[in-house]
Parts: sequence; C-alpha cells; structure tokens
Amino acid sequence: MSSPPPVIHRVSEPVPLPEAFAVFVRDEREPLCAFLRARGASAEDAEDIAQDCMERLIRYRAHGTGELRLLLYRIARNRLADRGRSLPARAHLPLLDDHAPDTPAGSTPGPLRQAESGQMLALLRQALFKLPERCRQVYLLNRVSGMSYTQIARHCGITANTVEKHIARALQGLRKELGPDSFRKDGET
Amino acid sequence: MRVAEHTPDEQTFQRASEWVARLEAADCTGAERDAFEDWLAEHPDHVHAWAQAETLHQQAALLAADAGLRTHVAAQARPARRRWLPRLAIAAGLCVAVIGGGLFAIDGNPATHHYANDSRVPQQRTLEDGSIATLDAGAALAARVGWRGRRIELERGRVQLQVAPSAKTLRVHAGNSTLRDIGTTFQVERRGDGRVDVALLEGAVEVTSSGAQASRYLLQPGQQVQVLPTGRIQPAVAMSRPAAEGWLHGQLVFDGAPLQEVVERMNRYSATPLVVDDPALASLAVSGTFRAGDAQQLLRALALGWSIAARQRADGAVELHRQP
Repeated sequence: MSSPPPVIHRVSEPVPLPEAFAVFVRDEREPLCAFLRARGASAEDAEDIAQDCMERLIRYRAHGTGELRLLLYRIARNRLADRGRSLPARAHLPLLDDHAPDTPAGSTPGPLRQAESGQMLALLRQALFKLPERCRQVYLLNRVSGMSYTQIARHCGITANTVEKHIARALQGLRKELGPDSFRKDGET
Repeated sequence: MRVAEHTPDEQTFQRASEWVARLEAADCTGAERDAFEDWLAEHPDHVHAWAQAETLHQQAALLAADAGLRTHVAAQARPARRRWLPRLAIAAGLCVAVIGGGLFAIDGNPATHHYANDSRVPQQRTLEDGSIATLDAGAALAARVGWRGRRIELERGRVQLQVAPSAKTLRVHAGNSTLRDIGTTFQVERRGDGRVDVALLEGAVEVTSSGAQASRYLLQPGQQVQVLPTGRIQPAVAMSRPAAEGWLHGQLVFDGAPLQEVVERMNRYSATPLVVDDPALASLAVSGTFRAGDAQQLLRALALGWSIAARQRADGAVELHRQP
C-alpha cells in the first residue's frame, strides 16, 4: 500500500464541498443551460456542457459567488468555443460565433448589477476618454459596436494581433485610471 | 526605468488582461483556453486579477446602452464605407492568409453566428457584413452571410437593423414574416403572442407573411405594420418616431398600447416580472413615457392614472389588479 506523504494526503483527500458552493451550483445550473441554448446548443448538449462546466468549476470552489459566476460563464464560453472548432459545419447544427463579439454583459449578473446603477459607468466613461486615441477607438469598436477583432482589423487597417494588444492595454489603462480599489467589493462574496 | 512601479499585483493584472483579450481572438486555440484555466487555478490572486479585468471588460460593454457614445462610435464605423472594403479586404485577407498561415481563411465562410442579449439594456452588435444590429434587452438573432445572400433569423425580442449596403439581398425571418431589404434602417419585433411588428425608419422593406392569410406589403419610410399570427398584415399606420427611437436609449413610449404590451416590454429590462392575469385589465389602453427598468415609476403611474394596484406574489412576480 503506497500512501502519499502526509502533507499531500491532507490536501488531496476528498473534502466535502463548501455549502455555499453546492447552493451556487444548484441555483446556477438552469440559467447556465438557458445561456448555452441561446447560443445554439440543443437542450441535451446544454445539459452536458453545463455538467462539464460545473465539474471544472470545483477547483475554484473557495472563491466567492461573484467570482464563481464570472468563472462559470468564462468556462462555458470556452467550452462553446472548443465545440465550435471540433464540430463539422452542418446546416442544422449552427456553428458558434467563436471569434465572438457576442459576450453580452448580462451573462454575469452578479457584480454587474452594481455597475448598472450608473455611477461606475460614468467613471468608466471618463476613464475611457483618457486612453490613447487608437487604443480607445479599438476598444470602443469592440465593446460598444460589438465588432470582432477581424472586423476591427479590417476597419482600422491593422492586424488582429494588434487589436488584441490594444484591448489588453485598454484594460490596463482603465484600471490604472479607476484605481485597483474600485473593484474590491466584487472580489468578495 | 519605471520597473519599481510594477508591483506584483500590477503584473498579475497585466497577465490577466492579456488573457481577457486573447480568449476572444479568432485564432485562440483550445490548448490556450485550457492553459488559461490552469493559470487561474495556480493562485487565488490570479482569479482576483482576472475577475477585475473581466468585470471591467463587461462593464465597458454596458456602455453600449449609452446612446451618445454609441452614436460617436457608429459615426466612426459607418457601414456605408464598407461598400468598397470587402473586395480590398478579401484581397488583403488572401495575402495575409498566405503569409500568416491561414489565420483569415475564416472570412467568407458562411457560418451561422448567434447574437443574444441577456442583459437588461439594449446592445449594439456589428454583424459580419458590416450591418449594425441594436438588440433590445432579451433579444436574440442568428445571422448567416453567404456568398449570394444574407439571412437573419430573429429568434425573439426586438432589433433595429442598420443594413450595410451590398449587392447581396438581406432577408430577415421573424416568426411567420419575412422582410426583404436593400440598404436601410428598420426595426422588427417578435411579440409573445405571435404577432410581428415592423417599423421602417429609412429605405424600403418588403414584408411577406405566411399562414392562412398570407400576404405581402411594401413598407414606406415612416410607416409601421403589424403581422398577425394568421399571416394577415394589418393596414400600415404612421410610425411613432418617439416610440421607435426611445427604446434605443432607455425610454419606453406608449400611445394607447394595451397594458399587456406595456408589461411585456417593461419586463425585458427588469429582474422582477410584472404579471397581468385579468384579461379585462390586459387590454386596458395605456399612454405615457416610462424609463426602461424603472418598474416603480410605471407602477406609480398606473396607480394614479388607471387605478391599478400591485401585489407581490410568493414567486417574486408582481401582479397587477384593479384597485378595490
């Protein structure tokens, strides 16, 4: 009998899932399935993908509900993107928009509710106008007009890779402008 | 050197923001997505940093509800300019494809793209052909741009389409109605009861319906029609511009609309649904301008002007009934 070293043993032992996590999984399953169906998954596929997502979520179980929800929908979009690549293009089986601008804000109801109050949005709007011009243009075309990187690249005469860099830089600029503390409450339960 | 300013926290955020950007790239691979999920699991700080970046990114998309900003961006991204671009872009795409190993080969592939707005504010999306779709809260559509034609299926809710000029005909299917269009701006809405509303802001649209009373109508700018579930197209009436343009920036305008319709529209923007069970009440004509998502304002107006009271049900919904 080869028993693992005690330290690892303690960590790898099947720990009962935290109560909050179990409640989260129970409450979020149906909204997640609806989200998947709205993106072209059949009812049956949606159930399968949702199950897969919940299993992948277990390793982040210690996080608060706000972060769990963000993670859950990110994982779900990753699975949809995986599927979009691996499925053959059959007429009755719509491919998913995997280079998608299609990531509606509402897909993560939690912390965004607070933002919808308007104050955060007003600050964000101000911060956006402090970004370098090209960076702001690219970012707004993506966020406000919902253009994909390919569309923006075509529109601005730059490469999709440069679009990606502008997007990352825009996020860094916005955070610098807004200050790292402006999100504190989102990180907590 | 400003290295000192790069606190570990900032570096983690930088990595996180790069992941946010990478995951939406067309050429992001499954292996990269797995690597991202592993990176998150490495340290709780990675999740915190990423959650900040992702939240910011999603909040920025909420600015699509800001009509001023949307106009500002739309002016820069006018679809008309794209008329000349596709051919150039295809040529450029082919060059890049040769050099870049086929990254752009996806162009022209007539895949169906799904657009769903699960949020509680209207959102603007640019379709593959350059057309701009403004999806109302709760709306969903599927779009397919082929070599010969463009096809949009309105799955639910309301959408405004600003169609990019193109030799390819655009057909919009909404329930039992088909709209044929060549370069124009119009709105189409699928209602809960099977009716379809079409309003034309500019250009020309031909509406064809199916069903027992199948018919056809060529809509003039400034007109709106309603298609019944039977296929019958009701006589065209003058479009209400305040109503047609109001929802785009959060104002719901009603002029003698049945209460049921007011409630159906209002519910798109709110987590707490309003319910009308009494059929006599459902057909009551209501007029007024209400802020999307502000149910309290609507309830106050209904109480004052129409003697309607509200009661919270056990399931959380708010039921409307006549004041005793």
